[in-house]
Amino acid sequence: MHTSVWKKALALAAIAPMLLAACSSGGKTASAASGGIFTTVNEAHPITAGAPMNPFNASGNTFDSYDQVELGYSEYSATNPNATFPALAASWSLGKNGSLTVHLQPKARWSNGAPVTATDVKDSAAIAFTQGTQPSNLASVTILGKKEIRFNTIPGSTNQLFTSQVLATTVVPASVYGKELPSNIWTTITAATYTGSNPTKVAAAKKAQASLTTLGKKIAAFAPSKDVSAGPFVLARLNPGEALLTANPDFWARSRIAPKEVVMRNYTGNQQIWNYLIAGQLDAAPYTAMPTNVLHEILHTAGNKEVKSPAYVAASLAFDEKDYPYGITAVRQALAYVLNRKQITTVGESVSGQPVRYQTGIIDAIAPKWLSHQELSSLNPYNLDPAKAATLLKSAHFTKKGGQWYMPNGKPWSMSIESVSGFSDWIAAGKFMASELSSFGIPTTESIAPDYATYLANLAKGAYPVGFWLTALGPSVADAFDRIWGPNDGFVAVGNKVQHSSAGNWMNTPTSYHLPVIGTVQPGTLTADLTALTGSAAKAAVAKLAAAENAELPVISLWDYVNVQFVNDKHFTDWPIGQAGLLNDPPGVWMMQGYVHAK
Amino acid sequence: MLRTPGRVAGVVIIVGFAVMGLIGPWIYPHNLPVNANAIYAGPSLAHPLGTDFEGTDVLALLVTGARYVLLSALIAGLVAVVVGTTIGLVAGYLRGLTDLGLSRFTDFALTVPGIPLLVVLSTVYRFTSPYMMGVVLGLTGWGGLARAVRSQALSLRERPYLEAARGLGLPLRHILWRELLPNIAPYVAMNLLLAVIGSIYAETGLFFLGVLPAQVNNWGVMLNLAVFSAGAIGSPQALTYLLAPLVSILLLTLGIVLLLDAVDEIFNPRLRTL
Repeated sequence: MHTSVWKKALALAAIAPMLLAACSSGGKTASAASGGIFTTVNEAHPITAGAPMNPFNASGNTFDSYDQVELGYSEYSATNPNATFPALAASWSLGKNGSLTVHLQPKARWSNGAPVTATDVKDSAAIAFTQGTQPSNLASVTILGKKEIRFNTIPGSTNQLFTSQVLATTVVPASVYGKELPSNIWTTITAATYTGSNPTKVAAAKKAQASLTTLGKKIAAFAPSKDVSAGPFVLARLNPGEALLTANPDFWARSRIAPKEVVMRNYTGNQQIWNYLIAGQLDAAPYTAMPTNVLHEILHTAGNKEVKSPAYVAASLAFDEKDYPYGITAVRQALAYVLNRKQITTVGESVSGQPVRYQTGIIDAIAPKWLSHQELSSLNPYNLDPAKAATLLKSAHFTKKGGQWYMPNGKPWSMSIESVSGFSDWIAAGKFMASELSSFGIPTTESIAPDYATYLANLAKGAYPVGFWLTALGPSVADAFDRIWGPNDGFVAVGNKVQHSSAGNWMNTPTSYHLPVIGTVQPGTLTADLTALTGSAAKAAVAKLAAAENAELPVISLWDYVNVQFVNDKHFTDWPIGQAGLLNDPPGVWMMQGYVHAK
Repeated sequence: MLRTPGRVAGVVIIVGFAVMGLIGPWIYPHNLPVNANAIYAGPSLAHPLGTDFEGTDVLALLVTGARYVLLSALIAGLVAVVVGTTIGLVAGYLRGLTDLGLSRFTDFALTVPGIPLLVVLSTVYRFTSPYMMGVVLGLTGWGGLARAVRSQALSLRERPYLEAARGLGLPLRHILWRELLPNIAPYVAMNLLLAVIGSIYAETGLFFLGVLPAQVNNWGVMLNLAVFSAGAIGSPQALTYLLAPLVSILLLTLGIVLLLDAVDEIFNPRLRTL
């Protein structure tokens, strides 16, 4: 996989909560010595010369935690997914009615000298609605003061993820983006978030939602004339090879930021990042898939250090169940028995992957925290067993002639596994799986999409029967299951309701399963409910969903990722080594927290 | 030809690769064995050229991948030569409106960018077959030859032997293929070989760049995976995986160039040395 497509997915995923009271500005307080140039690569996407300096553009030339900043950044805590590092929000508190009041950094200013105000945050929250990244039960925003703002929930709704979802809001200047918003934007938002059953209001809601979608496209295409940043850096210039950001003198915690400049190198694939690392040119590099031989070369370079932390994401094989024969449960189960996950991980992700042990939809590391020993031991481990796979296929009326499997309709069964150009781990693993399946009697090839955007677009169109998919995104289990029984499976939560439709649904799983012992499970509804459940109720829901994933295998999880990053000690020191949560955030957050000092 | 060792070497190289392409896929099983415990193994008796990212023998990949490369390049060369020569001959010999029409068509064909066209076509067609790859490469590569053959035909049509043929009332087909073509055959033959070289570079280049779906085993896919997945540029461990297809492409090109030299001498006695 590219440098951190999964990190971007993690950032976009709503983070789950349990409970939260208040949080105050934390981090180290030591002043950073003024340093030189900090060289890295943008983990979200490569540089696209000519793309606008707009964080809402898919290829936008703004860089998260450098010149693009959020209210807060997730601490990636397995036990409290609402735990958040302060950024533009200095502190926040939950109200009794579920609302969240945010107090902005008193000294926060834009790079043009203007203060960051509640109006900026309110406009940014409105933009989030146009991009579909708003907290799922956010109803409105109330300005309480110049630096104080309250996020109000839809009455009667419950969302345990509300705090983290609000704090993940990217804040942009109202002076730049405000003119892109119509004056009645909050009226439109109110209409769009209607969840009742009044036909007139339902029709108005649909119209308002369409209006927000149209506005979202316009905002995503908007090109500001200059970079106005509230982050620690400002974009100074950009060319196809690199972007140069200079320190923002108006940043609220300027004393913590050591580098005078940040150079963001461009890349076309993992191989280019490997070469930068082997040449010792990067002070920090985000997760990048690589084979073991390349890891050894990188670690031979003076100053390079490997830094590991847990990652809440897994690589899986997903199916479009409307494509025959992948809608047959026995087929997916048979494939799970044929695929040797240990060897697939060795080939595809030997450096930063752990073969998946439990097919649960969540990463193995947190499975014991949610499932009892008895529940875990009752799950099918799908250990390598081609004979069992053959039995399952025969029971589903598949036949094998001349070493080739034939489907019940009499046609020979062949497969194509879809992968993405530049995602070296997926490509290698896909090729290996193709070899395994071909040897089993299912002639399989790997097909490689030219880029991730095309891949996702084709997935959404239902063009791929079988392809790679990132699952178990966390740390929230609700987010993890949302990758299976969420929008990609046609389930969309609006307020406290979950709707199922064909829009965006490329997984096409059944809306309910009947499981032995457990009974009927409606996974889409249960996944949506999970955002509002805590304690034993949440555990019970996770147990049902894990059992459904284990029995029905809408995805086959292959390996859990380990977040392997690299830092180089030549120019900077004091990396947040051992700070597992912080390491999952980009280096600009490390700096905001007082890490990374000049040598 | 036999007097010049270099040209003999050229023939030997080409015959060697042709044999590899013909019988290679029969020597090895259709699904080459993989071994996750022998990833990027160094050269050994079991694996003379080492192994790849999934422990597959690189020599086996090289041999089984040769057929796609050779077959598609040969088809591309033949298609380009047949189409280019026919259009060039007809346009140059008939002149007038036919020439005008065919020349404009040729100009149009020359403006069609072959490689970008292939990239676009790859979104709807996956080029798993060397035949289709060869046909597309050939159909996008005949324009230059047609223009050159037309010029030759324009010059030759005024020669006395062709005037005599016309005077005798010989049919057009006879004049084009029996009288005109043999006189430009050496040029066409050399263009065939040059087209084959160009097609090898084009197809392996396209697969190397990753713009075509890497669904088939061929040398371009090997290069792509060696550089972009195995890190062969920065890691000596995967070097044989990179060098094997690279050296093969260079050797094959060398063989064709040497053969080209021999073909030139066969058709042009003045080049022969005593």
